[in-house]
Amino acid sequence: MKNWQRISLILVIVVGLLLWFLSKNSFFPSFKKIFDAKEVAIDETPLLIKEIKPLAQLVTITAYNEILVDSVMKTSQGERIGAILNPLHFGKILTSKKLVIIGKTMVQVGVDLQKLSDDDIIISNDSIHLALPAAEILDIILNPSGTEIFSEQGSWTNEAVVDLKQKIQKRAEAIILEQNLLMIAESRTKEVLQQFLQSAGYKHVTIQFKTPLM
Amino acid sequence: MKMKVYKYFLLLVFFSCKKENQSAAILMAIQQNGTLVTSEYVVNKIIKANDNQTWYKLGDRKILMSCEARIKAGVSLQNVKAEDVVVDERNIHIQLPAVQLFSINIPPESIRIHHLEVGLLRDEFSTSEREKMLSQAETQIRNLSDSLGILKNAQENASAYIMNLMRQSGFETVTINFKNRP
Repeated sequence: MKNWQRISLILVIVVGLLLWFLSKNSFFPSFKKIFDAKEVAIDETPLLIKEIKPLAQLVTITAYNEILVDSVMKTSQGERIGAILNPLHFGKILTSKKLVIIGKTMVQVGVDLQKLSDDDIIISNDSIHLALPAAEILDIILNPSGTEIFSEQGSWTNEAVVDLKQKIQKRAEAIILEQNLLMIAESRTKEVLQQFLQSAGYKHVTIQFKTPLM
Repeated sequence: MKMKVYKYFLLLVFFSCKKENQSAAILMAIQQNGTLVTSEYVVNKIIKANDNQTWYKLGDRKILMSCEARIKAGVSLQNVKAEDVVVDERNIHIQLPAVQLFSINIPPESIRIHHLEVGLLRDEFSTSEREKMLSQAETQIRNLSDSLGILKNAQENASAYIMNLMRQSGFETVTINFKNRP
């Protein structure tokens, strides 16, 4: 082997090893990353306070659910014509569209103490009696961070998505009622208030719940 | 001819009908707590984005949405221990835990799209993309909620509510203070 050939071979090996080392340590952007679409970032905008409400909700149960809903619709004629005309769809025509959403809900159950009136509290020496309003669902939360679009075919309007999310919320409400969580919330409310009022010096604390107004 | 058009119209109506399939639900967890929620702030948030960062996509997309968020704060009564309450005849002193942010609720029906601009060679914003933007807005709301003064308001309301309850319960002097936030 001639001298220049030996030098070239060493040079090729060194450059090869260097490239291998750099790519192994993510020095070069991967080919896949170059063609990854950038995630759309929203602008920072201020919050505008619309309302400030004083509350007195004693939340004693928080239930977490995972609910899946789906909707299948035939595409409208307009959507089909739009798909034919759109060069990005390569002539692919959807005759139906489908949306599957998995929603993680958080349901707050408890007692609205704002409904408590002076007549509902009876005190005699070291005994206190409270007549509390019935436990109720205070909030059903389905936030964007808890919403997973599991499958999406075709284009869906905001109204259709809202409709599906409300179905998830209704299902979450039904689970609370099916699982008798209102009763569990009442017994937990009893525990919390009994403990609190006993700390305040009451030896006998009795708590009863009013029947909910139908 | 008229009959044929009528038939097509009927077919179109039939196939345009929305079909709901099934829903599956799992009750994941139940958490027992005892939080007295004393303040709710209702805030509006504008969500605006311009999708022009992907180099190989020709044309821009712009979206302007808005949503409402209901932020709740309160105090955990289950963490009040016997040693936090000092009773001296008709006087009571209560030390409550620090007020904390309890929940943020973005009701789906409050989400509105006000403006959409999609370039000729671009697809519309998908539901998944819109949800990702809303999720970013939720994070911004969570990060800004402290600066709204909700914790101070919740503390004042909690103090006023418990004072009133204790006075109704027969105490003459009620003093309340809050532990520092960790």
